[in-house]
Amino acid sequence: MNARLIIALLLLAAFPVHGADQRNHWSLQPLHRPLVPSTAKGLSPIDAFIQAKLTEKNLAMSPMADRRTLIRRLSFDLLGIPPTPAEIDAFISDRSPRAYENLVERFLASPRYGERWGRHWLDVARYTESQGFEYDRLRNNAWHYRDYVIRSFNADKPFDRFMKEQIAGDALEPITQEGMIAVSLLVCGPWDQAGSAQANIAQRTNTREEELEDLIAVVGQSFLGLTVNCARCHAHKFDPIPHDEYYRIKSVFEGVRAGERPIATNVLSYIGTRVQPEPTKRFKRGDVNSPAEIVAPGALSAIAGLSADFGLAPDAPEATRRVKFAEWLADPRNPLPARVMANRVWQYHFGQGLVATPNDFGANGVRPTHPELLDWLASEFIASGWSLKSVHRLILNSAAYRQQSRANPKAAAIDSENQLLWRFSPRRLEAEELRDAMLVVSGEINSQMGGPSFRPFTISNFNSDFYEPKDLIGAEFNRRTVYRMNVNSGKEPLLDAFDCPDPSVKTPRRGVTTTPLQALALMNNSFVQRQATRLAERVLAENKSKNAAAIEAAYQHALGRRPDKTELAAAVAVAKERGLEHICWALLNSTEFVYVQ
Amino acid sequence: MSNNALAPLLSRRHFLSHTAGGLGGVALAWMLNREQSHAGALGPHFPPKAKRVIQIFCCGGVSHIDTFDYKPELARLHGKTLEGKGENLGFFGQPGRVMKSPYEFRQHGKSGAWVSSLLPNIAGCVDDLCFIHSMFAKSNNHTPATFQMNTGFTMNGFPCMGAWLSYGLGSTNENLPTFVVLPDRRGLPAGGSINWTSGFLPANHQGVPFRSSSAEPIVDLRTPANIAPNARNADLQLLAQMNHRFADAHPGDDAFAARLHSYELAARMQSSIPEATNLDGELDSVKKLYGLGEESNKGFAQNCLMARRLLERGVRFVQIFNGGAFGSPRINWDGHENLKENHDTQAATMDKPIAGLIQDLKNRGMFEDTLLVWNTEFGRSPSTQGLNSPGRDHHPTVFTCFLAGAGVKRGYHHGSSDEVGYFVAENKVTVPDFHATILHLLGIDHEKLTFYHNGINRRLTNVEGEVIKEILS
Repeated sequence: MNARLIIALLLLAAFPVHGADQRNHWSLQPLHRPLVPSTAKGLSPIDAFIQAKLTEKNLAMSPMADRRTLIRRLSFDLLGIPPTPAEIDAFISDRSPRAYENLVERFLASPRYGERWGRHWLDVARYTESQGFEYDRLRNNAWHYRDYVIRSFNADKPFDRFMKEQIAGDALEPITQEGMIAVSLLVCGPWDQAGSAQANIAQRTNTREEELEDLIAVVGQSFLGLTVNCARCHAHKFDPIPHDEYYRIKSVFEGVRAGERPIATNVLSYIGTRVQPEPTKRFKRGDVNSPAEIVAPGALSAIAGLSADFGLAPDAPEATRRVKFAEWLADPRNPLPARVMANRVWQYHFGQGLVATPNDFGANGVRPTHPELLDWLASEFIASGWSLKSVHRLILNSAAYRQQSRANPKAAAIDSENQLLWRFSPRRLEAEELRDAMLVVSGEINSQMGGPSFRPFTISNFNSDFYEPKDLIGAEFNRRTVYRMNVNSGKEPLLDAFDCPDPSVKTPRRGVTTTPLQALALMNNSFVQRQATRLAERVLAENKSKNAAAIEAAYQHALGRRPDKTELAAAVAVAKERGLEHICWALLNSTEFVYVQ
Repeated sequence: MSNNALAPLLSRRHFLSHTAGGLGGVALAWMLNREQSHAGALGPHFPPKAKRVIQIFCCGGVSHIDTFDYKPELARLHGKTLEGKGENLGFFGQPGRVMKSPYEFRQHGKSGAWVSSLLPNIAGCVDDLCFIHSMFAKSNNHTPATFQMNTGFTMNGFPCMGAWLSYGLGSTNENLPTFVVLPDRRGLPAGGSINWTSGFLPANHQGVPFRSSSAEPIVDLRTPANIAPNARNADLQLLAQMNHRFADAHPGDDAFAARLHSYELAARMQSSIPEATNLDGELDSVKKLYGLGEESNKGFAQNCLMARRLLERGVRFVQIFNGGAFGSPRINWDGHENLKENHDTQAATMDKPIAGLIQDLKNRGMFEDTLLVWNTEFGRSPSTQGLNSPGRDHHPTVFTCFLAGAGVKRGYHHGSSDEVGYFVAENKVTVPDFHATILHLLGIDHEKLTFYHNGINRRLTNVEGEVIKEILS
C-alpha cells in the first residue's frame, strides 16, 4: 500500500465528510437479504460467506475439531460451564449422524443457557446493584431485572418484544409484571443520590442531565449501535444525528426517575419511577444555563423510511412517548437493531464481531469484515421472528464454528487476527466462567436459580457504604456468579483480576489481559484453594481413594480429558508425596483449564 | 501497551481498532504491520521531564483561603454578607456571613509565598513548590468533583490518571504494579475502588490498592499458611511443566507464553512487594524526617515513605489519599461544621510527612525527575455555612493545588482568585488543563493518548485541556 493512500485514509478518518454522505453510511441503509455466494456444494450459507472471503486470500478453513474439543467449546459458550465427564463420554460415543446438532439443541434448552447469555446482556445494560457515586447504597430489589433477562433468554423471547419491554414494558398493553420489570434497563446504572438532592439548582440540573445522558447512551448503544449521547452538546461529529434530536429522545425519557415501584402487592423492585415532566428544551452546547427552543418527543431522522416524528406534542403523556419510541425502535424497517444484535451474538461465539465495535455502528466504528454475511444473518434473525436461538443454530452448526483452533503460520502471516476465520480462536474464560467452572469441577456448585443475590462481602457504613469482599463459605455462596450482588465499590479480587468489568461501564466487549495479579489470585485465593481441595476429596471418594484413578477423574473434570502416561506418572508421584489437592491446584491454575480451544 | 510479553492480550486487532478508531480496513492492516514492527509502549511522545508521579489527593475539599491563598479582604468583610457573587455555589445552600481565616498568614522563603500558620512545615518548602491558585472544578459535589480530578469526568466508570499513564507508558519494573494506590489508614475514600478504576481501559491498568498497614500488602500475595514453601515451589514447578507442555503443543498463540511469564512475575512479586513496603531498613533520620510513628499524622507518614520506596523501585504512579469518606467523626477535609477544628486535625496528618517527603526526594536526587502533585477536589466558601456556624461549604469555582519537582518552576505562583477567593481572577486552570500539564511533563501529548470506547476516542482530557506553559521550567 503506498504512502499517499495511507495519508488519504488517515485524513478521511480525521475529517469525516458530513451531510448526505453521512446519511449513506452502510449501517443506516435498509436491510436486504443478500444472495449467498455460490461456492462448493454442501456448504451452509454462513460457511459460503466465510469461504468466499478466505478464498480471496488463498486461505481455507481448518479441519473440524474433534468431539472432545467441540463439547467443551460448546458447553462453555452456551452454558458458561464445562461439560461433565459423563456428558463428554456420551457425546463421543454417540453414533447418531446428528449427534452434534442434538447437543446444540440440548444445550440451548438448558436453563444454564440463560444464565450465561443473560450475563452478556447485563454487561451491555451496565446492570449494577449499588448506586455508585458517593453513597453507593445497595439496591436490594434490583435483581428482578437480572432474572427477567435470564428468563427472556431461556424462553427465546422474540428480541423485538425484549427491546420494546425494556423501553416501555410498564406502558405496553396488556401490562404484565414481566413488562414492569423490564424497564429497569432505564435506571439500572449508577445514580448520584447526593447530587440529586443538593441545594444548588444549576448543579442539581446538571446531575440530572448526566443521568439522562447515561440513559440515552444505553438505549442508543445497546439497541441501535449509535452513540446518540455524543449529540448532547452539538450535532454528532461522525453520524447524522442533529443536536435537537438528542433532546427529542431526551424528551421521550424525561419522565423516568431512579427509584423503586411495586411490581406486585407488597413487592418493590428497582424499576424506576415516573413523573409527567415539563416540556423538554434544547440546551445550547449542552449547557443547562442556556435553554433554547422546546422540542417534541421523537426519534432519529437518520433511519430512512421511518418517521422520526411521533406526531406528539411536547407535553404528551410520558408513557405514550416511550411506547412510540419502542414501536419505532422495533419496526422491522429499522435496520439497526437486527444488525447490532446479530453482531453481538456472532461476537460472543467467535470472540470478535463482524463489526469490531459492537456499540458503535456509526462512522467512527469499524466497518464490518463481512458486510453481506452480517446482513444475511440480520435478515434471518428477523425472518425467524427475532429468535436468538435460531441465530445460535445457524452459527453453531456452521463449519466455521466447528473448526480446530490450531494456529497455522501461513494463514497467520496473512491474517494474524483471524478476522477471516481460518481457525477458531482460542478463548480465555471470562471471570464468571472461571469461578463457575471451579464450582462445577469441585462438585460444590449450587444450581439454584433466581431470587435475591448472594453477598460475598461485609458491609460497613461511614456515611457511604463500603463492601469488603469476603470469601464466605456456605451453599448460597456456591451459586453461579451471575447471582452475585454486583456492587460498584469493593471489587472481588479473583473476578476483578480476570477482567470482570466495572458494572457502571457499558461493556459490549470485555478486555482480556494476562497479568501477575491473575496468577497470584489463582495461586493463593482461598476460594481457589478450597475448590482444589474439594475436587481432590470428590475424586478420591468417587474412586475408592485410589490415586491413579482419582487423578484420571480430576483431569476429566477439569480438562475434559484423561492424562497421558507421562502426566499420570508425574501426578501419581506428586499425589503420593504432597497429596492429590496439589494436582488439583495445578489443574485449576493450568492454561488448559483457563482457555477454551 | 507495555513493552513486555504481558502486553494486555487484547488481540492486536482489538487494540488497534480502539486506538485507530474509524480507520478503514486497509489503513488498519497497515497499522497492524507497523504495530508489529514497533511493538512497545504507546508513549512517550517526546522526551519527558518526569519519570514518575506521586499524587497526594486530599479528600473533602481543602480550604484555599485558609492555607495557600491569602485574602486580607476577608478580615475587613468579616461578619458581613457577601454581595455580588450571584447564586450561592455551596452544596447546602445556606450562605452565612464572610468569615476571616482563623489562621495567621505569613510570607515564607525567598519566594515570599503566603502560607497560613496551619502548615508550618510545608511553609518551609515553598521555594520548591509551584502553586496554581486558579483551579476550577465542574461540580460542587464531592464524588463527581473527585471523579473529575481523578478521571477528567464527573461520572462513574472512566479511567483514572494512573490507569492512563500505565496504558500510555507501561511499566518500568514488572516485579511491581505500575499504578499503586495507598488509601488513608483511617478509611477508604467514598466509592472505594471506583476511585482507582481503569474504567474501559484493560484491567491490567487499574490501580492496585496497597493495604499499607497489613502484613499482606496486596490481596492474595502470600502463599496460604497451610502450604509449606517447599511444597509450593514444587507445585509451581509442576504447573510450569504443564503450562510449558501446553504452550509447546499449541505454538503460535502468544497468550499461552504470557501465562507462563505471569507466574514468574507473580512469584517475584511475592518477594518484591514485601521488600518494597517494609520500612524497617530506613534510617532513623529518614523516619524522623517524615514524622514516622507520630500519632498526629495517623499513619500518613508511613504512606509517604512507602510511596518514595515504591517510586524508587520503578512504580510509575503512586496515589496517596489523605482523608477517607464523609462520615462522623470527620476523617477528611470536609469542614462544614467547624472549619478550624476540622482543618487543624487534617493538616496535622499531612504537614510534616509531605515536607519530609519533599526533603527526602531532594536528598536522594529524585526531585529532579519525580513529579509531586498535591490536590483536592474543590475549595471552601469564603462565607460560613449557615449564619451561626464556624464552618465553610464546598466551593468549586476557585481553589489551590500545587505541583513540585520534575519540569515545573520552583517558588512559583500561577493564577489568582478574586479579592475574597470566590472566583478565578486570572489564568483559570480547569481540571483538563491540570491533567494536560501533568501528561505533558511525562512526555505525553494529551490529545494523542486515546482509547476507543463506544464510539469515541476517549481521552483523559475529553475535548478540552491546554498545557499550562507558564509553569514549566
